[in-house]
Amino acid sequence: MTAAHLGEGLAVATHGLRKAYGRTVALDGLDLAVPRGVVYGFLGPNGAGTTTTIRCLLGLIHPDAGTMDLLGRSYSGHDRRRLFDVGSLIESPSFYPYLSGRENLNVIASTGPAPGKGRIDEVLELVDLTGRARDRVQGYSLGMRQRLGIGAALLNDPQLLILDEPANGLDPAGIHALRATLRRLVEGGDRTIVVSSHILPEVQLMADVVGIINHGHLVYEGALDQLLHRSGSVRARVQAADVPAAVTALAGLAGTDAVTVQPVDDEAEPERWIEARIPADRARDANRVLAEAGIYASGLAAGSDLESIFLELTGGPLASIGEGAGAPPPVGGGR
Amino acid sequence: MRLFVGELRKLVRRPAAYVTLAIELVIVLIIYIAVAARYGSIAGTTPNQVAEKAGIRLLIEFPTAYASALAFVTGLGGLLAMAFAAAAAGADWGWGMVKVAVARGESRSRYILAKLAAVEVMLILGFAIAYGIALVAAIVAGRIAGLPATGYDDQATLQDLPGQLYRGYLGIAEQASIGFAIATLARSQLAGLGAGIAIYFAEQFATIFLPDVVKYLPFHVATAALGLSGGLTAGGGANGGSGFTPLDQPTAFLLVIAYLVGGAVVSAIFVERSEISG
Repeated sequence: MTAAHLGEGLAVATHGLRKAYGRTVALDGLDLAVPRGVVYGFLGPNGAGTTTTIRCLLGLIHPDAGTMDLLGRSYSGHDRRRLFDVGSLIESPSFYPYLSGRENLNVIASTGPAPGKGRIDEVLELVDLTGRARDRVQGYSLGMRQRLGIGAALLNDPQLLILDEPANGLDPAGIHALRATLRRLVEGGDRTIVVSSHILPEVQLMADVVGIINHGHLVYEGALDQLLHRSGSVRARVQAADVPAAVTALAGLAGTDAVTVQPVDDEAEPERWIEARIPADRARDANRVLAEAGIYASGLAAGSDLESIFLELTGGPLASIGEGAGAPPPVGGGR
Repeated sequence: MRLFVGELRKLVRRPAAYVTLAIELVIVLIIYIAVAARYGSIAGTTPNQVAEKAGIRLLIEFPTAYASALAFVTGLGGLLAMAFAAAAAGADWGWGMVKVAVARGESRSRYILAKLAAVEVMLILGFAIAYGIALVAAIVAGRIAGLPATGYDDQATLQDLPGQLYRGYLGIAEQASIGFAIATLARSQLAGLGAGIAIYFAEQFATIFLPDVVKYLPFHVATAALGLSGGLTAGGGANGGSGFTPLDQPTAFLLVIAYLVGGAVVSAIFVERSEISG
């Protein structure tokens, strides 16, 4: 993500988008600004309004108020031709079970804009389904259907790709391949991919920019790197007997409210993880203050993870540090 | 055209299309075989038996068999056409394909009307096959019953036949359009199927109590639009025995067209206005 990217206009913009279903307000004045040429992680807890937003953008439902821009032009939801440059995978992929993968792509291609000649073969190759293209979709695994759904979204070589839970049903190799494919699609062009997903570690590895919504309005939008840096933490693993002194030492660095001790199932555990919410690049400082207090950490981890930040921003329970007493805590990763 | 061909391609590959046709053919064949067997078992010594044999001859003796086959095929075929169209429309909602088409920028009404047009074209083929098989079954049944193999080339009947076939097909198309609209409104093929069957039987039942109303309803106007003579009714008895006066043929034909177009318009308007959340 670069500043140049942000300056090149917006792929998606919403202004005061509002949508209610009876008394339930799904979107409450949502303002989104999705830059071009990025993978945009669109995140929110269940019921936050992510799917409703996507449905509005794709003309499936009509917002009660607010405006939308698609690829730099105003879009009312009725101007269907604006969607010719948009590919999408909404919720679960949809296909005719009695048709083959290729036939499904053919009938999907008969709607909307006509794809170029040979495009169906290209897409099948891209999603690694060439060998199964003649098989009926009813015999496909969930992961294969998901890949075919992504293929269908790519039929028109769209400038904007909107994918709702694209990693659903994919095995680890499939998720890795998806990530590589999506990264490849945005590199070297101004194609934009909006990914809505609950698999936050995957979004962390994939996205350049994230937008987090809760209760129908935006709670954060910006470069993922900046968010992770701003919300980083350093975790140290120390002897149980050293915990009070370690907390005091780290509190001197991070502030009293910014230090937490990981709860343990067994009080007899000999060691504890302590987390100080300070930028990850201050890990050395944390190590120094612990050493100055005569405490030698048996483990030190720096970084931050999107999941913790997400939960904090959306008011969910804070993630525990690591799965077990001895497990390393989750930390941010690069792309 | 691309959209229409795509819709046609879906239906041609859809097993339900062939199952529907097979149901129609099997029932028609069973009826003809049963009628032929029954004819041979009637002694014909009492006035009632003589009348029964005369009634059966209307079905399996030519040239009246042309009209009776048409009555069978359009009566039963109308119900099956309604079910088939409902399945085609409802499945698109159930499988999320309306969502896919709209999200690709396809016109909602164009999409739904292309689908209905493809259904109606499939019904032309089904109707032609079913009518052809019914005629063959009538010939075979006539032979089994020992009736003379004459009357096939009755000029007066053959002259009327194209018009009757045309009106018979439109009756089927009308019922398909209604089934299509119901399934579209309900967004469910099951609802469309259920409603279609319910309408069919409700019409038959209501003939007894509400003859002045029933004659304006879809199955009855389709039957009246056929303009068949000799007491034949679509499905072998839509107004049989009730003693009520059906609509005159021109009026019934106009109502058939109105129902046909109405189903298409209702479907298109609904899809244009609906919020697609599934």
